[in-house]
Amino acid sequence: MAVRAQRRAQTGPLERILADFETVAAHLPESIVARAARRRAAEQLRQLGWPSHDEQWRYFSLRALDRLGTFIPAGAVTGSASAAVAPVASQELAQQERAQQELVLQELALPPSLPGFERRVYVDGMQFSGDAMPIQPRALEPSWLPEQRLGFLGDMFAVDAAVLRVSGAAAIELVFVTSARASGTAVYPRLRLELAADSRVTLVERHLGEPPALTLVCATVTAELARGAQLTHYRLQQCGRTTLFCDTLTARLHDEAHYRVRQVAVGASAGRTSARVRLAGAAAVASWHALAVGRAEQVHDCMLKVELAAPRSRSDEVFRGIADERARVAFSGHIHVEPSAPGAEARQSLRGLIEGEGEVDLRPRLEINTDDVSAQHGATTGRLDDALLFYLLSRGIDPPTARALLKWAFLSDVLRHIEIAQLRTEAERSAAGQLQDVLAVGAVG
Amino acid sequence: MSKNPASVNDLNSLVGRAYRHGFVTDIDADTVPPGLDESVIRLISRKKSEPQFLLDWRLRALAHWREMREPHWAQLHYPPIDYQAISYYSAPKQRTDGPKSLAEVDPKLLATYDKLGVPLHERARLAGVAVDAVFDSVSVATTFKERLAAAGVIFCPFSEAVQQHPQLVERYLGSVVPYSDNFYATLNSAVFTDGSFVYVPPGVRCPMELSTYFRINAIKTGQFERTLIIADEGSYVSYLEGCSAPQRDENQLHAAVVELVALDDAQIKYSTVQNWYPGDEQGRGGIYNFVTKRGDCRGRNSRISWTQVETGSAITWKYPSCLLRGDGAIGEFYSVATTNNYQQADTGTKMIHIGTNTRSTIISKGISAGHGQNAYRGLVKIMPNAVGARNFTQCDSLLIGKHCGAHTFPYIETRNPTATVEHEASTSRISEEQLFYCLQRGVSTEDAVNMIVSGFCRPVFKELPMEFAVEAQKLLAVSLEGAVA
Amino acid sequence: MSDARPVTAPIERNAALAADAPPVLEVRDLHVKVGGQLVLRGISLVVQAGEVHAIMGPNGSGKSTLAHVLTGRPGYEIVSGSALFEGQDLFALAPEQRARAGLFLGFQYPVEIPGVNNAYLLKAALNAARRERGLTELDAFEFLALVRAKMQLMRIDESFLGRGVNEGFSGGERKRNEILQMLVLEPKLALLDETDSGLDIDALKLVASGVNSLRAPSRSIVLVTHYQRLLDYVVPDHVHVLAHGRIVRSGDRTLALELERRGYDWVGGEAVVA
Repeated sequence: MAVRAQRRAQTGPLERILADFETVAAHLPESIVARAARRRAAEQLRQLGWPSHDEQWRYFSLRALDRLGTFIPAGAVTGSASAAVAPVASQELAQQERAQQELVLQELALPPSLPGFERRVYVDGMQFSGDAMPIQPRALEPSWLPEQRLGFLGDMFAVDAAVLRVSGAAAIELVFVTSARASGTAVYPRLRLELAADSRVTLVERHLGEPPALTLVCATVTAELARGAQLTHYRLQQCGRTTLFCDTLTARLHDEAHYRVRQVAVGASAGRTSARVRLAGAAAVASWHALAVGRAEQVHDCMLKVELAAPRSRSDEVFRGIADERARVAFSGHIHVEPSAPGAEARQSLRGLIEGEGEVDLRPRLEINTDDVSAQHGATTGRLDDALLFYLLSRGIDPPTARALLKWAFLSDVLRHIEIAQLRTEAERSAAGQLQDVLAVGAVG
Repeated sequence: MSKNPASVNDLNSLVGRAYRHGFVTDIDADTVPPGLDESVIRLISRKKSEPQFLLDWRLRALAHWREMREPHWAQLHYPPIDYQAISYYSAPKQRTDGPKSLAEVDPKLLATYDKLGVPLHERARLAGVAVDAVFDSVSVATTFKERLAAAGVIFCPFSEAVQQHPQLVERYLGSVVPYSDNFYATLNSAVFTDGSFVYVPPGVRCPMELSTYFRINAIKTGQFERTLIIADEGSYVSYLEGCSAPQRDENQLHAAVVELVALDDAQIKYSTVQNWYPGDEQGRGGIYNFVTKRGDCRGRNSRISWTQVETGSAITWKYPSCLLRGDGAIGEFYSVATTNNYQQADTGTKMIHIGTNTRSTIISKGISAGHGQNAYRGLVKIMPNAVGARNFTQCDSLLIGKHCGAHTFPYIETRNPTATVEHEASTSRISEEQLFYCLQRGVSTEDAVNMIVSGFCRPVFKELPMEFAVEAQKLLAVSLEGAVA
Repeated sequence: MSDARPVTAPIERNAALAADAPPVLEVRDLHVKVGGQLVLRGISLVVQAGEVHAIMGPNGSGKSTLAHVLTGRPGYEIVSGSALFEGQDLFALAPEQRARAGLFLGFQYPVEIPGVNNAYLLKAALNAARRERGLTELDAFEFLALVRAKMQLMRIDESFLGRGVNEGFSGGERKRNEILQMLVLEPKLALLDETDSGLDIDALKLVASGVNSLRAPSRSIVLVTHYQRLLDYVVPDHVHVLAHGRIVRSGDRTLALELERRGYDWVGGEAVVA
């Protein structure tokens, strides 16, 4: 690791990434991502180059990635990748590994399971508990947009993947934990969702863990929703402050499919979500509600592109962000209506609140390419509403409590859409934990 | 082309070469052949007997420009421009190559003037019939100048200001849009030939609307004009830029720069009706309009308003902006941009809030018809010290037809907790219900569309001076002709 | 003005007029489809100059379709049948030509046109009609004088002229605006589509007095309505009941009263049998 650290000073992150990939490529499991596909991803990343401080990346702290020790995944370094590559012969070794895993799980102190949910735990990007699902090498790898190019890292380095193929109904909780073992390296959680026609899935995706040194969590998520499929996808990013969190998502919806995302970002030193949702089928609906609360030097940057490509497709976006102290919170909501989408509807409501020396950046972007469409967006940044504040004060509420209450109301625009009570409480706690006054006043609940 | 300062011989040979290439039919000693290098800049500067500071400034701009790349982030598509194929200096044309009388003018153009109700003698002037053959505006211009002089207002061609008020030019030129600002502005800084200069002394309210319309000596200022307006403390000026009817122009590239400076308590109102040739129904021809306009609210409680109605050009790339530096400064941007046929517009504004209690308002109305592409691009930036800053932005698009596009790219960057930024945007079309309602009242489809579009634009039109608003409304109707089948 | 006087119809005189002039409106066996569905199944209707007709019927009976198809709203397919307006083929005319010829539709749901002020629309409409009739266009002053008088009648505030067409209007204001437009445009035939719906009693009387003020030997009115209460104030010469796309019953104003007493099931049942 020391050698690597030395080299870091001389070369940029892209060269290091490619070099790290060459070092480890031969050992990465074919079953997760085919070797050729990994190579293609590396090549595409090379061709795109490392993002400069351009329009799509101006709000994210890319520089932080320069400080990362290595891009080689923790699992690959220790040589204990998933079952797919583990030598079948050494049963004993596998058992030892398992015992060790149990120990790790206990140490990690995971939040209690959600009632009625099937839980699977992934530590450092690899499956620890729950039934593994056979993975077939996928013919078609996701193609990432330039603003999603960190997704290629996931394609290159992933050592395991969570694959959900669902028909009928399911409630699943996936917990991705970064352990101390991965500290200073990178982990690549990978999730693939394939929803059969008319299936109904509630999925909880959480990212946790407090590695002692700077660690990259680079998640990739692909989702395919067949006709009439319904997916409610809760995403909680509660990583520790030593984490750099990059999350790249692409979803494709067929006729009448419905994709609901409820995303809460509170953790990591810098987090970036780059999501693309394509409404490829008629009357498909995407509803994305996101919340980000940053304090200290945190950065939360969320980029969401929704492509309305079929008749009567609909999209609804809500973002609420608070930047406290010197944090930076950014949301880029890009709505793209194609000529093939008559009767499309798109709504966006983006709001930011600044405390202290924080910064909020909003980019509500509309691209409309046909006239038979209804699109609206509203974006505001600023302080708490004076009129509301005065109203509360006039009712005898003291200023800190009044402020806390209003902030809480602000966050509730997103939080109230979390329909699992236990999860909502948890999300509320962690959002409130970012806002000292809210917690102190006990405005929660 | 020679890199050395052009000698008389060089000049002759250049002119001769231009003639051989058929770029000018009537040899004009003040026209240089296509291409851009130091010698061309020196030639321009010498022709205009410019002071050394200005030549140096131009040369710095040229050196900088050579290191720059043409920007391509805008939502615009056009074939590459060969900057070496452009002639960078052509003295105000005598129009001897123009039509000799109205009988020689394109009847389609005359029909347009007719619709706009442009007076006959004006039509001739606008169509490019030699000015001296038409009417004498010298008397108009003279009375105009006398009134301004009495008020102490300086209003003259840029080249005249360089000669007569070099200290003002040196002090303010490039102080808002530096020569290194952007590709087109830098090019302009190197090669601009003329433009307008306005100085309003402290406490003076300019007694009339200033307009290039009256300034006949600069009717044809060329493709790289430069305008500088300074409103000294407590003064007020309203400036109208544009023409009163579609001006056919053979130029392909138009890269102008406008700099406004408002000192303490000063106010500048800058209105534009841009109606350059938009190209034909198939998208052939038309002006590429790459313009940098920026106002500096330098003083306390200063105020700059940009109002623009953009109906012309094949391509429009312009973002009239305000730097709100003085405490309590106000910036405003009111815009109507229409694109029909294959026109493309990428326009918007930047409001940079630096001082405390600065305020800005942005109202943008984009209308897309045919295959037109219309983009609003705007930045509202609240700097950390801009305590109490406020912005309100409303950005609406109206689409007419299935093949057009409307795009909105707002950037909101806020770094002060006491600031408030509000942005609203909507997209709509002319609904069948609205259209039928008007038809049922006996109003024709064309009138109904114009009525609805004008209604959509009303918040912007009401910011224009009266005659301009009427004209803008008519222009809009002309530019959207045939938009609804 | 609060007491809207019932006006008795001078039927005899009109019959005399009708003898030498074609009816204002003559609809023959009209079949119309909307979205592939046959909605009007053979409507025939003759309206003479000076007459007031009421077309009543339950929801979905085709009342509004008739009003829309006569005024030329897009989205309707005329399968068969004809409509003559003063002997002229109505379906050969564009919607605006029909309007200029003197056919007025009072909309059930008047649309908002943001930024286009009422005065402007009304003046454009009036002058378009005047041009059509070979009259000189009114200038701003003449127009204002005319419209102010009508506004007083409808108790509409002066400020209304500067507001956008129906922009932010309440339901009642929109309906009053429709009647005002009718008064200014003075059509030969006014089709009022559910103009009474959603009005309180005072507004209803106001609207009725507006309609009555327009009654004249040269002018005809067709009231399309669900309820008979408007007919207490604007007394019709003829009442027709529409059900399932046909006129199932015609009569004088007593028919409306009977309908109110017995409900639409009464005619609906008969229609099925017929």
